[in-house]
Amino acid sequence: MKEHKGVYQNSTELMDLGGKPFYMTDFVDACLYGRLNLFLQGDTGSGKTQLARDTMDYFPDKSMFILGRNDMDTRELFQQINLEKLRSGVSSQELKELTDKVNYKLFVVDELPNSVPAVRAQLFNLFDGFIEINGKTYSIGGGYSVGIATGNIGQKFTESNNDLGRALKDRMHVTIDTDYFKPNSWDTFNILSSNTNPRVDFTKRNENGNLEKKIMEVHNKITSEEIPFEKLVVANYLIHGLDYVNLEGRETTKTKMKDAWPNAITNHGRGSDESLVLPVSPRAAKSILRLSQAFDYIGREKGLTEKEVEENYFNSMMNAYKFVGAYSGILNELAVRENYGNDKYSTMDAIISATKTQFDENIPNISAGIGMVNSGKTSKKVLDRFSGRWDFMKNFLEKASEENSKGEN
Amino acid sequence: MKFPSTFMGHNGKEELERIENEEPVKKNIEKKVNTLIPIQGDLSFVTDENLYKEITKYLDLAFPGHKDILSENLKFENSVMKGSNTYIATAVDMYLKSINSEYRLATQLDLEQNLKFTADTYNDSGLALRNLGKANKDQAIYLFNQLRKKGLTEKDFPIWFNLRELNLDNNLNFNLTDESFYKKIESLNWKNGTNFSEINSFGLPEKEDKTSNRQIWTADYALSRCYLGRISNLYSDGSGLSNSSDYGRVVLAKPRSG
Repeated sequence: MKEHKGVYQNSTELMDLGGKPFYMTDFVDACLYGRLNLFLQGDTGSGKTQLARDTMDYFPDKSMFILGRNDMDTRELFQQINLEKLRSGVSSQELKELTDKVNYKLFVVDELPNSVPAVRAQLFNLFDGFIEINGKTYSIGGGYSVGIATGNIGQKFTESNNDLGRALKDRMHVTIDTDYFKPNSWDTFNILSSNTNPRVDFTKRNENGNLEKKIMEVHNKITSEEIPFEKLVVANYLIHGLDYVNLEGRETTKTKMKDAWPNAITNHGRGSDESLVLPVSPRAAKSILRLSQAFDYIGREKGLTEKEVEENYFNSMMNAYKFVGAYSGILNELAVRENYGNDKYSTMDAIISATKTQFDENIPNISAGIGMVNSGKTSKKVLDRFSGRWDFMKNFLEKASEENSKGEN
Repeated sequence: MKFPSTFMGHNGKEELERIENEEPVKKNIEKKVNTLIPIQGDLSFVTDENLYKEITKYLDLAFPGHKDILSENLKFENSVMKGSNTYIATAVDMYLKSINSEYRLATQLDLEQNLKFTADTYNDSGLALRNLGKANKDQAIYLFNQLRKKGLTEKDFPIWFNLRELNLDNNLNFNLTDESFYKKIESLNWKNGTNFSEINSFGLPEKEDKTSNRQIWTADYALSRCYLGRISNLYSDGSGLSNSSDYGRVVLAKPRSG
């Protein structure tokens, strides 16, 4: 947002929406607006901690910085958030009163992978706005809380990488590789000419910092407004269309194939998105929709007209898909390594390009489907236009048409 | 859920009317074909390096997972684009269509008008569907499922498809379009190596002619690649739909109208 005046500098573009460039700080804003947990993946010194630290100024008295350490236990974590009494056997009512007073909106956890699993689980809970004690959950943050965590998931850990990876994929909604989008030479010339202190600057405060009210308002706006139908179609394509597989002439889904995916795909599906990417889960689809809505809001802030925002719904969704999907575990890692030089974002770009082709071919059919539902009739000619990976659209339109005609009767 | 009246710029009512008013496909499997013979000189290879670059760019963007089959089989050398296979030829036609070019992929009929032009090269022009159980059966079944919806059965085999006006999807499956041409062609089941000279109005062998040097090569694959060979034989016996060599040339033709 334009009020962002932190220490972190990075003018590398992460995406473009209707000709408006989006930078790393825009992504942080989008995650705050959408209340999406953000994981900043990157090597030491890539600026991720400074970026997270700067963001704390948005909530001057309602943000907390926690350094992930392997010797921190939950007792120490509770002490940090003034809940140490939780360990001394208080009643449920007292617990509720205690947790109600915890009014942090933003938790920044630096080097989260260093935390032990029990602490990490509680940190994720804090991000999501609750704390779990003796199997009961107590909400905190007054209805809004979000987490930004940093770490380098490429490094070696003392425990199974898979456990950590699963936890991150499960609880962090958006992951950005800060090494991939590192500051350009213009930024580094500026950074180095003004300050040679190699430490993260925890002293500098953004005087215009308190943006809590604005963030809450935007969050409420984008979570209460109606999702455009175009975006719903795109989201459903990512859930159902990308699940489709034609296996030796037999139509099935990757979900049904389970562990046989992608090795069982031997014909033309190999090399296409059929063997490259899994469908997104409905939960990930929600993250994509919400991130896309936040992108649209920021796009308007950057000067896009309502018409331009509408014309870019597809692009907005694809960009959200790219950043929610790249590190979410949906990609065939072997194919990414072999065919895309281990570059997850390039792989996502290729999938997006194929998705665009699919939509370009099917937009007239989908439009006709909408026309059919609006007319209150069912057209076999229209429904027959949808097959294979578009079968989901046929089923949806059929049902919608039925429902519509019931409504008219 | 609220349904809009348009979707990504397309008016739902208009698109519905367009599809509803489309002519039903007749049982007669002979579909649209331009029987007008292009004049000599209307054939062309890709000799413009910028066009070659545009084509490879299109192939990479449209089929990012298939560079090994498409763009990586092409090169521009000695002022001509070299390389061809069934997928490349089809995708090049899709590209030409997408830019509204006056050129399209040459059909077998186009190629027959000037055999000298393509001498010492091979040129992909079609597909032959003969059964559903042998080589390339997956692609054959996929294609046949579309024909079945139009009322065709296996009794209608063997069927010839022009590559022009077919559409490839992300998985390189062949998809019929409203403009696709396909027809039952008996000569596709002739004995391998049968000599012929006369062709029908689609550019395919009509009558056996033992005195002719030209031959049609056949095989009983489910779906075969069909191409005009280096010595002007018609090969309808290719099982390797994606094979390509430097002798391959994508031939463009300027279809005449009216």
